[in-house]
This record gives sequence, structure tokens and C-alpha cells, in this order.
Amino acid sequence: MIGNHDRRVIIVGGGIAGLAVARLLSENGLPFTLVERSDKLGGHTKDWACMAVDECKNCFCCLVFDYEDTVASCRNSEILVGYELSSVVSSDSGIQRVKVRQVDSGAEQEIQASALVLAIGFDTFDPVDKGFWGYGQIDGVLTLADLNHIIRSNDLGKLSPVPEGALDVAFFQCIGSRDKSIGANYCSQYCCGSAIRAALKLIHEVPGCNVSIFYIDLQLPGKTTRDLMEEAQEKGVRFLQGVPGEIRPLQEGGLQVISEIDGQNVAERFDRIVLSVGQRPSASAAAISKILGAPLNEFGFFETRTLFDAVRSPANGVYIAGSCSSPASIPDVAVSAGTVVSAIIADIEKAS
Amino acid sequence: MLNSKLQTNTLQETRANQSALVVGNGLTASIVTAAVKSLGIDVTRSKFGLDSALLFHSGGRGPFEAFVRFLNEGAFRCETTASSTPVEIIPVEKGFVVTFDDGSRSEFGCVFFATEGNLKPIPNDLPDGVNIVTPGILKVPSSQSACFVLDYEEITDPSIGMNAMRMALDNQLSGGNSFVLLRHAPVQGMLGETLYETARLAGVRFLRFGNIAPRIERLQTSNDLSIKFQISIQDIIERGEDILIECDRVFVTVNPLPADIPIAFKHLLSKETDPLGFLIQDSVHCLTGKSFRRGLYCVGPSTGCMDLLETVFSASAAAADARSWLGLLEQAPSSSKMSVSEQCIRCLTCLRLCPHAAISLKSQPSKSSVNITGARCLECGICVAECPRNALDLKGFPEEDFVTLIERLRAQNAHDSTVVFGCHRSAGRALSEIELPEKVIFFPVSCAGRLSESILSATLLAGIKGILVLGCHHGNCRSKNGTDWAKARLDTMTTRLNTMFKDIGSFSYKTMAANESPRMLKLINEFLDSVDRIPD
Repeated sequence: MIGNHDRRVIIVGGGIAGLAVARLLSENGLPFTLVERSDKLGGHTKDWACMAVDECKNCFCCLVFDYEDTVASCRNSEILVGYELSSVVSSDSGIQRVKVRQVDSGAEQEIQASALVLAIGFDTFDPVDKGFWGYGQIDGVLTLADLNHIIRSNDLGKLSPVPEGALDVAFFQCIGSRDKSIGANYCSQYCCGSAIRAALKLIHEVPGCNVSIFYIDLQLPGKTTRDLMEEAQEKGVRFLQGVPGEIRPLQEGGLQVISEIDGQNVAERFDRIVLSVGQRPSASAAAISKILGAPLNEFGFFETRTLFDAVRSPANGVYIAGSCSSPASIPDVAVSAGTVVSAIIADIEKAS
Repeated sequence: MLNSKLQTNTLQETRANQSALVVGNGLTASIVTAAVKSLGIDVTRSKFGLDSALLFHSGGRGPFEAFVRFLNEGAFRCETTASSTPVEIIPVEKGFVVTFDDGSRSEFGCVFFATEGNLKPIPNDLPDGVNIVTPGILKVPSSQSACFVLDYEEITDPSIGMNAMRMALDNQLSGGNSFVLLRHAPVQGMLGETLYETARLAGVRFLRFGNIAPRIERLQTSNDLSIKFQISIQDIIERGEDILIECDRVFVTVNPLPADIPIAFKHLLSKETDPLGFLIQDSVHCLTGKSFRRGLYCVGPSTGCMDLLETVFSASAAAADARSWLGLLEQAPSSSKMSVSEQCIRCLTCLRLCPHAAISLKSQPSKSSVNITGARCLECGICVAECPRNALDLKGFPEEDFVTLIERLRAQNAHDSTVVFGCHRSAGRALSEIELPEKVIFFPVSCAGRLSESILSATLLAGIKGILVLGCHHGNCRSKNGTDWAKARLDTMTTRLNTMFKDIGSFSYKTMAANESPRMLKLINEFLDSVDRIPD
């Protein structure tokens, strides 16, 4: 019985999805235990950079701090950092008890549970897995995540090969997304917007920076993302359809790619190439799926019941928030977390 | 382990005497009503706007159809339906007082705007007989050759583009012939790519154009009843070759048109629109349909969202937030966060300026008073800083703290010190990752909007080297425009003080976010350099 408040909602994962669920649960008077395997809360979002250029560009990364602050001050709830899910006991009516294990010591503790929310997020695609972009081998090839870390540490000067010199940057979209050969024939949702914001940031912060974005199809969901693209075009960002398959280091320095412009093959030189890496299912999804009996879909993300019931797992009492059920941008995650909390409360209402 | 009694009480409290008003007459309002009711909140639905859902047809297939039937069968029909239209919505201590056009008046804890929206008109240069693709659930054209043109005037919203793909696939599967002309294939959601692939495999022909949009012409036919179109397209995949297509039907996608905001709500929401004119602001604080005015929500086409699934989910998310808001209304004692002194002359400056609608006027025959809704107040202090009588104060961040700071600066004769006022939401958090340079005093404020001209000038006149104000980025302020208030005040002060004093310290205003610690340090150091450069 989910309505019994002696028991808690267990949230697995302390990234932005888990924090968003925790915050809204506690605001609705429902106690939770949040379990995070790593040593810090916030997940990917915490390491990403602010994309404001004179004004906020709605990259949404700062939200993780708002969520974390609210969650840290929740009464009647607990946050277990450095813990992971080890086992569950369920009945027909759902989850009954959950065992969590401290990652370092292996010490276990049991918690009376009313429901379990999976919010384990995603892993970024590792381009080394598909070697032809030379990531990790060729200097100057980095991922969108790497670029964010550089911006976050305010180290943009490091990008230019010659201090104060010109900087030509290319973004390659859909790296590890929309790629059937690796079982990732889906769009990763966040990368077009993220790349365009990062392009605007680079142009703003680095004098003499030119940016080209190579894409397959631009996905500009949301009402004002199209404006963002127009702004980028006005500021000189080139949008080129077709992603080059190969990057060659040049003897004289720089990187060469062959791109197709108006039906002609053109060799272009860039100083830095940013791979907009997609979202892959978390490495721990398979193990957690087994523990909970919560099935995964063909791509390896957690399956949900129906198109319209998209936060309940077929496993009773298990709810799925954020990008572990489907690649998601931060606004998607916020909506998904709200839907999870709504589903949990609706189930309490139904039961009582 | 936990206080179970407290939790049970919380659940029951929110159920009592709490209700929501859902404004709208179409499927969106039904979706919102269903979402709100499923959380145990009483719903009154006010019929307003379009009579039926323009944008969500019910002729589609599969789960969409089942879902609409589910809603229409009245699974969530609400008991109370106000047949009248709201003409005024006033925030009060326990929610909103809504006046309807028949003169009746009711109080609600929260209000949802769930009106339908409109699409842009068919582009002028297209011939008669071309249809537009409506999002949501679609009628499948009879099995003819049909051409779907995306990205015609501007890049199509992916959710609308995917509906065009669904229509094309349906037509192909029922024996027709479909063409999809586009610049960017829409592949939203995890199954977008699968839809694209399925359509291709089913025989839907995709053609891709570049900067030149396809030319669509209507052909003369001998028979008046039949129409034929000819389309020429420069396909960029086929190396710029001109391709000619003949077809019976042409559908073109257009994007949502900013909704006409009902005049009755303008005073509440007119300033809360995004740059395109859709409801609620394009802010990180307005995700899931939240307005800055707490307790007001907007969901669906009037916010520019044309996707049925997205509308369903954001309705649920908004409902979960509304439920927590109703709980907060019950619990939070009024005026707990602010004090109003006898100096108040009820000029209502505060009421006009509050971005959260936390201030209301309590009308009483003998003496009316200004009332603060504790649940709504986020302690930004914009009202405190702008109160012409200095009658307001924040209890958690009192004026006294600033006085203490200024006295300390005076006593220390701190002429070599610099004061950094930073919003606790951005600079306050980033502070933990940096080490402040010597002689820099950091003073966190609840919002940059709290920094009144008097605080800023008094601090400066304490004889320090300078003041740096660090607010949140424009457009990112939790209180909508606190950061802009701070900037405006500093600009005014620059003019005023510079004409009055010659040897005064300098001040500057910068914006930042919580994850910009290294930049914060850079901004502080740059400010220190600029202050040092000023000759004595």
C-alpha cells in the first residue's frame, strides 16, 4: 500500500531527475530516501556550463542547484550518497522493502518502501567505441561534454592554438545518435539546442572564433529554439547538412574534414572539432532491471506501460523519471519528474 | 524513523477546501481536468474559448484515439462546471478570487489556463486547395497521392512535422502514395527515428530541399471535381536535380500562432508571455506550466505547445506542482516572511511590483491594509527596496543586517575594502568553490532586487573602494526582474552620485550563475583592477 506514510518513496539516482522528483515529493508531503551511487549529487548537469551570453539562454543547468538546495532542506527524508540499490522485496501491490548497499564498505541497510522511482539517467556515448572520429587519438577532437567542462572552468583561452589567434570550431551532430549500427537509432533530444547555445557562447567569449555546425536534421523543439538558431545564423554560425565521417590531422596543425557543400566535396580545416555525443542507456540499467524485474526496451532504456502512461514501469510500484526511459533534455526531465510525482499521488488517491 | 502523523495530516489538509479552476473548452482543458482531479483536487471548469479542440482531432488511429475516447467518455468529468466566463482574477491570501461574467464570484486555490490555440494561416503564395497539417490526432486522407510539405516558410515544429509523417505513413499503408518534402526530418522522442524509418520502408518517398522551397502549382483539370497539383523541388540529395511530382492532395505544415490572450486575463498575464507572444515566460522558472504568479498555470496550445503527449505530461506535472502549492497555502501563516510597519500609506507600489502576486489589499471599512501571502513570497525584497515609505522589511534578511555592515565598514575605516553584494541563488552558491581575494567582503542578498538605492549609496559612502553587485543573468532571475531592478538602480546612482561627489568609490554590476565560480573570481579581480586604476 503506497498510501502508508510509514514507508518511503525510494529514488534511485541523484542527478537532476532524481532531485526534481525528490523536491516535488517533499513539497507534496511525501517522505523519500534518495540513493546516489557516486560521491556527489547533481549528475551530468552539475558539471555542465552556464550558456548565458549577456542574458540567460535557457540551458537550464542552474536548475540543478535550485533543486539540490530544496532537497537538502527536506525534513522527514534522507539522502544516501555513495549507496546503491542491492535488492527489493515486492508483493502484488508493489514494492515492500528495499535494501541499499554502501558502495565502499558493502554494508547493507533495509528501508520500508512504498514505491520506487528510477532516475539513473544516461551515459554519454563514448566516441572511442566507434573509432573513425579519432577521439582520444587526435589532438583537438573533443566532445560536447569536454567543451562544457572547459567553459565551466573558464578556460576558453586554451582552445585557440595560437593565443589571441583565430579559432575555427566545428560541431558534429548526432555522434552516437540516430545510428543503427550501435543500436542507437533514436534522437538524443538535447544536442541540437546544446550545440547552438555552445556556438553562441564561443562566438561571444572568444574573439575571432568561427563556428560551423554539421548536422543530419536539426531538431528544434520548443517554442523559442528556432529563434536561437536564427540568432546563431545572424552571428555567422554556418549550418551544414551532412556530418563528415572522418577527421584527419594536418601536418601543419589543425584538422581536415571533407564536407559536401552544394553537391561538391570540399576540404575544410578546423582547429577544434566538437562531437555532440548522444545519450546511451546507463551502464547499470541492465543490473537494476534484473533486481526490479523492470523490463528494458529495444534500445536498453527502461520500458514504460503505454504511450500515455509513460512513467510507470510494467513492474508494479516502479516509476521511471528522466532520461533512463528515453533520451531527454532538461525541460523534458522536469516534465517527466512532475509526471512521476503526479502518478505516485494519483495511485495513493486511488488506493485510499 | 519519521513523523507519520504529520505526513498523514498533510495529505488530508490539502484535500479540504481546496479547488482548482480550469479555464478552457477543448481537449486541453479535459486533459488538465483529468490530471488535477486524479490528485484529489476539486475542479471547476469554466467554459472559455473555442467550442471544441481545433488542434486535437479524434479521427486518428491507435493509442491516440483510445485516449481521446477515454477522456470523452467522461472518466474524469468534473461535478462542477461553471458555464460562465471569468472576467477578473484577483490574487488573495488563500488563492484567487474569480469574478464571472454573470456577476458571480468564487475563490479558488489555483487557476489553470488551458485554452486551445491556433495555427498560422496557409502561406499566401500557395494555390487554393492546399491544406494545413493539424497536430495531435489526424484524419487520414483517402488513399490518393498526397504530398506533405514541411519547413515551407520556416522550420516546422518537430511535433507538427511528425504528425505530417504519421499522416503520410497512414496514407501509404491504406493504398495511397505519399511524398514528404522537407529540410529537416523530424525525429523527436525515442520513436521518432523509428517512425521515419517505418515510413521510408513502407514506401513513403522523402525529398529534401535546401534554401529553395518547393514550387507548388495547381493544375487545370477537365473535371471540376478532381484537383491535381504539380510540385517541383530541387532535391539536395539528388545533387540539385529538379524533380517534378504530381499529386491529388497537398498538405503544408505551419507553426503555432501565438494565442490571443483573453482580455480578461491580461492584467494578470500580459507581462508573462514569451518573446513570440505565447503564455508564460520563457524562463527556467516557468517549466511545467508554472507562472511567476504562484498558483497560476498555463498548459497546452496557448503556451505554444502543439504536441498531445507533451500536453498530457505537462498537465500532470503542473497538477503535481499545484497540489504542493495548495498544501503550502494551507500551512504557511500569512505575513510570516515580511513585516509592514505603521509607515505604510497603502500606496500599493508593492502590490504592483511583486512578481509573485504575493501582496494583496485587505479592504476594511475603517482601515484597509497590505497583506502578504507567505506561501507566495520568495523574499526577493523588490517591494522592500522600492517602498517609498520604507515601511516593509524582510524578516529573514532584515535591513538591520545592512546597517550593521555599514557601521562595521565605518568603524574599520575600510577605505581599502571592496564590498561584493551577490544573489544567494547564483553568487552565493558559486562562492563555496572560490577563495575571495583579500579585502573583499562578500555579502549575500536574497535577490539583487533587494538592493535599494539607499543601501547602495550608504555602503559606498561608508568610505570603501567600491561595490560590485553580482545578480543572476537577465532572464534567469527567480523573481523575474529583480536583477534588472538592481541594474537600473546602479545606472541611476552613477548619474546622481557622480555629479554630487568627486572622490567616491566606484561600483559595477555583473550577472552570473551558480555554476560560474571561476568566472565569478575573474569578475571580482577585474573589478578590483578597475578600482585600483582610478587615480587618487
